[in-house]
Formats: sequence, structure tokens, C-alpha cells
Amino acid sequence: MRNLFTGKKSWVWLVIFLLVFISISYFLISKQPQDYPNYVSDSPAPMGTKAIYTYLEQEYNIVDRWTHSPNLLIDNGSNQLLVMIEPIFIPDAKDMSEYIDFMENGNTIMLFQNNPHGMFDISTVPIATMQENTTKLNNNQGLEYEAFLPSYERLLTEEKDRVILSDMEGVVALERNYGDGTLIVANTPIWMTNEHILEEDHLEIIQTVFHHAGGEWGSILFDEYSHGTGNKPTVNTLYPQWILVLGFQLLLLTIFYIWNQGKRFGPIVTPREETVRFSNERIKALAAWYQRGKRYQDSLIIQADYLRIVMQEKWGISYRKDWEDITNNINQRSERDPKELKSFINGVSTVLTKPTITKQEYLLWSRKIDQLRKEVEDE
Amino acid sequence: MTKSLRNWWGRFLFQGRGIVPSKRLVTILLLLSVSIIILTVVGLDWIWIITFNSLFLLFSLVDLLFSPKKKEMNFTREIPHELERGLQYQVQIKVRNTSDYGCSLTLVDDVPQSFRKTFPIKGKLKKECNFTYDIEAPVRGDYYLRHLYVRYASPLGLWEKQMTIPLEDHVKVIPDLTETRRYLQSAQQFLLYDGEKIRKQKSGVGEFARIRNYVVGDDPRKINWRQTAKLQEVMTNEYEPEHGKYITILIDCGRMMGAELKDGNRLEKSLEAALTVTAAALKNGDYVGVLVFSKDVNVFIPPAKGMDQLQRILQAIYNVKVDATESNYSAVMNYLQTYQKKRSLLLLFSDVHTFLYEESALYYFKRLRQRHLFFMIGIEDDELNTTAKQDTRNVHHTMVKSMAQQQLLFKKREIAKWEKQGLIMVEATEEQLATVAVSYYINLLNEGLL
Repeated sequence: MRNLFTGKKSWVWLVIFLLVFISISYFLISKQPQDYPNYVSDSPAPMGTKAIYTYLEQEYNIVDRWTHSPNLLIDNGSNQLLVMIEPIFIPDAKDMSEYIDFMENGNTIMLFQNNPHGMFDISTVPIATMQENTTKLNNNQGLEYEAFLPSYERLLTEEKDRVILSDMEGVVALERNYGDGTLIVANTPIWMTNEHILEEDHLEIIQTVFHHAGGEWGSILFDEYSHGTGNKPTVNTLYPQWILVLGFQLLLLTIFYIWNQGKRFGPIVTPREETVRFSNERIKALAAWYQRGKRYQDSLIIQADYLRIVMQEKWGISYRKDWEDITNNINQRSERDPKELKSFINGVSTVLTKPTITKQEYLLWSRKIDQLRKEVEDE
Repeated sequence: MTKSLRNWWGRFLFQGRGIVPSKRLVTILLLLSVSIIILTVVGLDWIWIITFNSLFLLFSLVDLLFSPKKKEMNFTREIPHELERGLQYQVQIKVRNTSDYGCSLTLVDDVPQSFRKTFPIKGKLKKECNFTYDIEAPVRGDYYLRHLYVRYASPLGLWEKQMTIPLEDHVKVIPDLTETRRYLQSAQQFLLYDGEKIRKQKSGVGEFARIRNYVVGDDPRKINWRQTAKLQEVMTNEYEPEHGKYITILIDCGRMMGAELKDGNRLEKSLEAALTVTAAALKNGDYVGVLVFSKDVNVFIPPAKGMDQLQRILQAIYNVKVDATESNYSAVMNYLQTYQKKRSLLLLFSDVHTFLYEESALYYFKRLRQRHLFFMIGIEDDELNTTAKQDTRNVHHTMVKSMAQQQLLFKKREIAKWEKQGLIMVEATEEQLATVAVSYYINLLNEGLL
């Protein structure tokens, strides 16, 4: 092992392994298409809008993406076209008024949104049934277009609005003036997607809409700001400042506290194993063995034997004599009632000669033997 | 990782060097945070918040400049190289500071884990300073101290510098020699515990040693009248048992010697007792050899005399550990027969029970008995004795009790049987092991059996 991982050889192996891993991961991962959000102008996915963006870019060379806050839009002057395709949220009042300022300065906003209710005071009206298939759209010059129209909403026109497109259910696209500029609203962003732009008459419709917006722009901007890049409500707007400062200071404090507490000072301590051996392992094992074999009789004989030895040592009563023969000797030393003692001795000698005894008998006689043993030992 | 990067990483958290914010810094930062938060409610910009924080941290770092540099501090450690088990010793750490700044030091020494110690040690350092701490080693063996860990705070105490200083020391933890020393100081006192007196002047025993002044209590029959007449003072002859005998101490370190006692295990106690006997015998001018065995012979020190031998024996056996194997008595006997040809006293420290179960070994010993004197000493099993005296509570308890009684009976019978054949076995309580061993040795010599 040591030879394999030291010196130049190990580097060679390392490089080989790395290459293998990289190639494997390339083949495994590169097959999966990248995920894009819908209606994003750099997304080649079916629901992206890269096609129209690229087309315009090649045609006009003045196309760009706009990812900043709308208050910077005005700085670029007038004669701009801002294309907003399905903003994922409705901008707050500040942003909205800046968009309006932008239009009033002589610029155009082209908004494609399924339900533009709430954007620039546009109101919509719901319709009962959505057209599953394509429907016929009319423009204000009497031309007919075939289009896919998956929307439950139609636009409500105000007095000065000009209808660009409409179907049987209501207005699909309209134009409204804001100061020197215009707002163009259409309720079907799906026309702009890569998947659908070439289907039916979508391209013609888009051209019509663009035509309405004028034609000589200083620049065409695709609004990505409304697709979430940077325009989500920041933490700053969500929480009061003091909570953020509290969090920041807590973070700082925690770092220093952990640094203070966590830096090792002293040797590395590893858990140490201590083993202790007890001297009673032998008797424990033997006892378990006897108990499993129900050898109560043997155990009782040992206890009686032990008692006799203790009696021999303390009272000088011979170990070799039978139980019956030592009754008198015990009587002389013991303070017990002679009758009780006699019955005990008779009992012991019969129990000891029995072939088997029960658990109850065993415990009973153990207790009785213990009593006498205590008496002998205590003297 | 490149070297400098690794250096940085180590500095930050994971190695023994670097800087650490002190408790004081954290507290001040806490106060600062509270005030900043209060100010925020009134109205304070983010730029100011960050400025306040970073200014504070920058100024606190300036504090670090006013503490000694790492190279300006010099550390030395003084530690006794032989520690007796369970005794307290003092370790001294000398610090010399060549810089102009003082500081407050915190030290943690790389003392082995099993030692009892109290860390960290704190103190103020000006130019030169000594720090002391106590250690106590409960486990015998060889140990190395490799580093000294130091933290010292800057004058305001906002930051601490930490460093690890390589400082190597080798420490041996040897058996507790308190009993040996007590014996060497006053043998009489030591043995009084056992209720026996050393009868050095037992009449009729031993050889003539010297003539000395008569003191009250001496046997009047031993008065040397010729010398008394010559010197005009009452002089008496002194006799002492013969010296220059051979004593071989056998120490079992097999499995059963690991059984735990009140203080230490059986092997610890046996080693201490063995060393006391060794000291006693060497002081008497006898030859002492030591043999440590379990499955095989682990250590053998051939008999020699003189107090140097005590050191030699100590150095050879201080690191003996309990082996997990059963002790093999026959192997020892074979070994002894080849290496110990002179008649000697074999003093075996072992577990009597294990020994009795080794029938074959006992026959070996019987044969050995023809050439040597044999004496075995074990430690009484307190656990066994108390278990045998238990009351009857339930079946299991009673079974255990009866087994303990069976073992005691077995031991009594076997000891009686072997004693008849001249193999003497004794069990002593753990406190009295050394005294019993020494008094047996003295008795043997007094009786002139060797």
C-alpha cells in the first residue's frame, strides 16, 4: 500500500483515476438537458423564447437582455422597446411606476402575459370555456389568423385603447398610450415560445404586434428582470433591519464563540478502554451450570458439607461422624431447643439421602442449614 | 494542498498553533452587538455596522503586538523519571521570557491519559517563572511526554496566542515501594503488623556473627567473658542465621492474577510484596533471583546479591502486565530445573485456586521439592468468602453460595493434601501479603531449613 501511494507512481494513479471519473461523469451527466425556467430568452427549451430572441438579434442587431431594476431604464433615453414575456410576479408599486415613467418618456413596453390583470391597470374578464384547438383571430384590418389560444382571460378595453387582435370571446391584444410611449398587451405568451412560434400563424401574429409597436427602435430589450433575476423581494424588504443586524451580529458572535471554545488545547484524548476481571467468574459459571441441570440435591449436599467443616473447625465436632451421631455434641454448644434441633437433624439426614428434591425443599433446607451455620460462625 | 495553505489551515483551528479569541473579546463583542442593534432601531446604516465591527476587531488585533513572540519564550520541564504507582509527584515547568512584555500563561502538559492531574495551570509571567502541578499514576508502565501546550494572553487579554512546544520526557511508572521502604527503614516495625518479631538473636541458631556490647534483654548465657575481662565492659556474642542463601521469587502474571482487589489487582500486590521480600533478602545478604511467567517465562533475572540487584529486578519487572492466557506452571518448572541448580527457596506468588487445579504441575513441584524449598503465597479471595456466607434468598443466590462453599472446601482439602507432601500454600489478605511473605522468609532462615 505504502509503495502504491507514495512517490511519483501515486501521482500517475491519481491522474488516471481522475480522468476515469471525469469521463464517467461526463457521459452520465451530460445526457440530461439543462433545466430552464419558462419564457426565458436564453432558454432553448420548448418553453423558452431563445428562438425569437436570436431571430431579432440577427435581424436588428440592437437586441439585448435587461436584467436590472426598471429605474435604470430611463437613463437609456427614449425610443426603446421592452419586451416582457410572462413576468413571474407582479412588480411592486415602485417598480410599476418606474415602468410607467419609462413608457411616458417615449418608450414602448410589449407585455405578453396569460393574465395581465394588475399590470399597468389592465383589467381582464374571464371567459367560460377555453378553446382546446386553434381559433380564428381577427386583427383590426380585417385579416384572419389561426392561433392557439390557451387562455381563460380576455382583455377589457378602455376608451382610448386600440384593439390589435380579438376573437369571438373578446380582445386578445390591445394598445394603449402612456404619455409619449405605448403599452402593448397580449394575453398569449405561448406564441413566443420556441415550441409554438412556428406553428399556425403565430409568427405572423407576432409580426403584427411588433408592427403595431412601431418599428424604428433604438434598442429592443427582453426583460429578464421580471423573470426573477434580481427582482425577487430581497431579505432587505422582507425583514426589518434590526432583525438582519441581529442575525449578522449573532453570526459574528457565534464564529468567535466557537473559535474560543472549539480550538483544541492540549493533547488529543481518545477513549480509553479499561477492563476489570472479577474473581467470581468461576463460581458464577458453575452456579449457572448446576441451576440449569436442576442439581439442587448436589448443591444441598455441598452446603451441609460446608456446615460440617465449619462445625469441625469451630466446635470440634468430627466431620467424619454421621449426622445422627453428633446430635448430642451440637446440643452442648447450640442454644437451640433440643427438640427443634433433633427434628432439624433428622430432616437433614433424610433430605440428603433423597435422590432428588424440589426447588421448594431446596430453598427450605438451605435456609435451615444457613441458620445453624450462622450460629456456628458467629461464635 | 500546498505547504502555505496547510500552514494556514493548521493555524486556524485544527492544530496546536495559532490565535484564539478570549472570553473577554467575546463578551465585549456581545456588548458591541447589543449597542449596535439598539442603534439600528434608531437608524444606522449597514456601512456603519460593518465599520464598527471591523474597527473593533482590527484594534483588538493590535493588542496582539504587545505580547511576547513565540521565539522569545523558553520552556523546560522537570519531572521525576521514575514514578511509583499511586503516589503523588510534583512536576515543574520553568518558563523564561526574553521579551519586554509580560503575559498571563495557561499551560496544559502532555501527561499520559491514565494519570490523575489537574489542568490547565494558570499564572502570570514576567521574566522567569516556575509552574508546578501534581500527578499521580495509577497504572504501571512506560510513558512518554512529548509536548507542552501553551496559551498566553496579550496585555488587554483580548486574544491568546497558542503554541505547542516539543518537550520530550520518558517516565516509568514502577510498583509502589512504600512497603519496601518501610521494611528497609525498620524491619521490626514493619513485621509488628503481623504480630511477629524478627528473632535475629534466636539462641542456638545460626553462626557467630560478631561481639558487641551487652544490652539489657540479651541472653546472659551469651556473654563473652573473655572479651568482658579484656575490655572491662560486658560484651556479648551475637549470632545470626547463615547468609548467602538462594531465593527465587516466582511471579505469576497469568489470567487470574488480573482479578481486581480493593486497590489494584492481584499482580500489583504480588509485585509489591515480591519487591519487599527481595529487599529483605538482599539486605540480609542473600542471593535473589526473580522469574515472571504466564504461558512462558517472561522475565528471568538470575540470582545475585547486593542492593544493586534490587534496582536490576525493579527495572526488569516494573512493566509486567497481566497476560490473557492461563499460567503454565510446568513450563516454569522445566525452566527452573535447568537454570536454578543450587538449592533455593522458591517463593511463588500466584492464585492458589488456579494452582490447585493444575494436577500435573503439582507433581512437578513435588519433584522440585526434593531439591528446593517451596512456598506458595496467594491473595485471599474476599469475594469468595463473603459469597460463601450469604443468606438464602433465591435459587440463583443459593446456588452461587453453595458453589463458593464448594470451592472453599476443595481448597481446604487440596491444601491439606499437598502440605503433607511438603508444598506449603498460604493465603493472605491483600494488605498483609508483603508482611506474611517476609515473615515466612525470616522464619525459614531462622530455622535453618535452607
